[in-house]
Amino acid sequence: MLEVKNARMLYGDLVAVDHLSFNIEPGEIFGLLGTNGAGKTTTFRMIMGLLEPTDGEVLYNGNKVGYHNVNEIGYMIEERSLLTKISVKDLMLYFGQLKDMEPKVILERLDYWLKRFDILDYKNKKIKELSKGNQQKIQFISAIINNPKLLVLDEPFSGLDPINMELFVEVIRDFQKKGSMVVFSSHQLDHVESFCEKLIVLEKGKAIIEGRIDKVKKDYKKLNVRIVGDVDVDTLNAIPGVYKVIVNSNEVIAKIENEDVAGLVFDYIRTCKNIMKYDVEQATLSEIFIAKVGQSHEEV
Amino acid sequence: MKKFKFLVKYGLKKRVWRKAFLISNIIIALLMIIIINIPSIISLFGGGEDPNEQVTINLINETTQTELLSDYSDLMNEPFSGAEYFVFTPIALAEFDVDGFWEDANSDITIEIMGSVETPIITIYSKIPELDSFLSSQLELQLINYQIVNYQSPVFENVYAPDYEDPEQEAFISSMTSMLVLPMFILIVMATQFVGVDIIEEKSTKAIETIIASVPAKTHFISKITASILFVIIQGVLTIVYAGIASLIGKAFSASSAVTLPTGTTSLLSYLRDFVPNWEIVLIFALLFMIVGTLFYLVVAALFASMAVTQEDYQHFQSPLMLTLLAAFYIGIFAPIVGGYGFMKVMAFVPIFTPILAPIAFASGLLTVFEAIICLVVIIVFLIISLYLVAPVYKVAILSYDQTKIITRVKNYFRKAFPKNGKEAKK
Repeated sequence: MLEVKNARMLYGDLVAVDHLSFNIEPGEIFGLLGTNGAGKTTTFRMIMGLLEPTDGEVLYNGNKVGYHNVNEIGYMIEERSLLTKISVKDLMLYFGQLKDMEPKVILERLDYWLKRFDILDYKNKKIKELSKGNQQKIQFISAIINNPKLLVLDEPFSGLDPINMELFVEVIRDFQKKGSMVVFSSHQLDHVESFCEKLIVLEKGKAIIEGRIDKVKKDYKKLNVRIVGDVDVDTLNAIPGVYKVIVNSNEVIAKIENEDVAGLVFDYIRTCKNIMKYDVEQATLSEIFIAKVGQSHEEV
Repeated sequence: MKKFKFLVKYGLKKRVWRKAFLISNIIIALLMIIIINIPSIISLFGGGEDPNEQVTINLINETTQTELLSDYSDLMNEPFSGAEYFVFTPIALAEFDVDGFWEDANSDITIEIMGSVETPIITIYSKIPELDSFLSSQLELQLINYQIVNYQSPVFENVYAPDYEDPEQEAFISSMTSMLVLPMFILIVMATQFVGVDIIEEKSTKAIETIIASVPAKTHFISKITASILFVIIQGVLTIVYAGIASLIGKAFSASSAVTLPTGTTSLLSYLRDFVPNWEIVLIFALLFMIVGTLFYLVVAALFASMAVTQEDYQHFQSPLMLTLLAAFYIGIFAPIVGGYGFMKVMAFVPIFTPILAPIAFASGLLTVFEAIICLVVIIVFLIISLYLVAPVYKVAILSYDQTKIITRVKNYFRKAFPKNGKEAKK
């Protein structure tokens, strides 16, 4: 289990992370969200033991994260962190041996992953000759080559096309099934929503949202009502508790304050013609994120 | 330890297992062969002393052998097939003024032969000391030719001008300079460049985060320095091997050559060996200075590379280092030429100049063994202090991408590495 206990990190007078606490159980995927400069990378660095928290502690299976247990951890940083002048094979041999892996094992696993990511032909190519997407794949492989029990991924999906993104998600899910802990950050909230169980949203180093996604959504009272049919937008807007109406090409979305308002909307819909769809759903993570971060900014 | 060994092996392989290393070594080997055999090469092209340049010799003959001057002149000029290379002029003892002779541009040598032919006392006043042994041996040969019954070897006294500086000593120091300064300078520059470029390459590509996530910054730092110093040792040993090969080539060449070269001009190494009977100690000291000195420069280069963010940034950082090395190089080259031996000796004790200047000063006799040991101790102490200072700063700086002004950055890193009180870091 990974435990971040009341971790605080100061850079001079700047509070990068402010009393952050969360746990990740084996087989759990944990999302760490936040705007740029919210403290995500600092948190990752504390998890990796690259930064010593000013206060609090980070424990991996009850022990402090250090070089004694680092071989069980895979780390992918936000930006490309590859030695561009050497070949894919040499890079993996370098990074793999730094994790105490045998060259033979590294090469076997490298072949497997290159095949799975459909880039086996690039094994002997220099990193600088690869496209950005393929470099991203190599960086991802370098993080998982040691079959980590804890996988720390800082923006793993940035710069990926939807097909490769799905491939990454598939691999991450495989690690989850094998019981690995995965902690990752992403700006693509739809992905966070689709495959992680728990999350924390950081803003200026503080957790402004935390917990299981279903609970976070439930706690966030606001709902969306999706309607397909002949509705009058002004009438819909005038219903008490409807705070916004969005008209899309094929549907109308009424954003409502709480569950009770859904009944009022339904009463109106019943009077309308050609209603094909009426669907009440929870707010998206993206909406919750924007609302909470915006609120946090207003509070400041 | 396993990771440290791997990093050292990886760093070394990265440098040695390259075409650039092979090419540079071929060039170094060729240069060594040329430099070491320069005297032979010059002789081949008819260089060196001009046989047409005459040497004027005044002869004061106080013996009863009146034919001595003409016989001696014939003997001396015999190898020049009729040409008069040595021009002899008889002068009386009363006419000879020593001070006047040193000032006289038309006289090169004055030979004063006192006593009898059987037991002569010979004084040679010379402005060309390198001819002394030749003059003495030929004169003795001439005396033996008279087949004197009670002949005894003459007593020779050589007199030089009061301001005379042994040109062989000067030539030796100059030779030492060229033999040692350049390789030392090149090796240190190569090593510092390697360590700096290596670190900044990993840092600027952000690969350093993945690396430092697997090995401690201290291990990374020491492994880089170890790999570089091993490289320097390998390159240094190879250079010595090239020098040996060059010397052997020189010997083989002179043995098989139809051209008869004067003794001692076949190889610069044999020439230097004549002057440095304790060359083994000199070599050991030179290697020690090279290792310790390079280590010191490597530590500083690693520090600068850890503080830099990009390759360009590192170029700015390393400028003072390169300027210091250049200063040491120029002191090493020019101090012997302008006679600044004292200055060179003092500078040899300054740790930043020691790696380049101390080996030359020691090899050329400017430093005694005791003084060389002091130099070595000073730079070792300096190295240990710098290691203690640099390691914590390296740890702080290597993962930082601070791009503030260089001075501000350096201050910040030192402040973070050495907080005023232990709590500041844990604030």
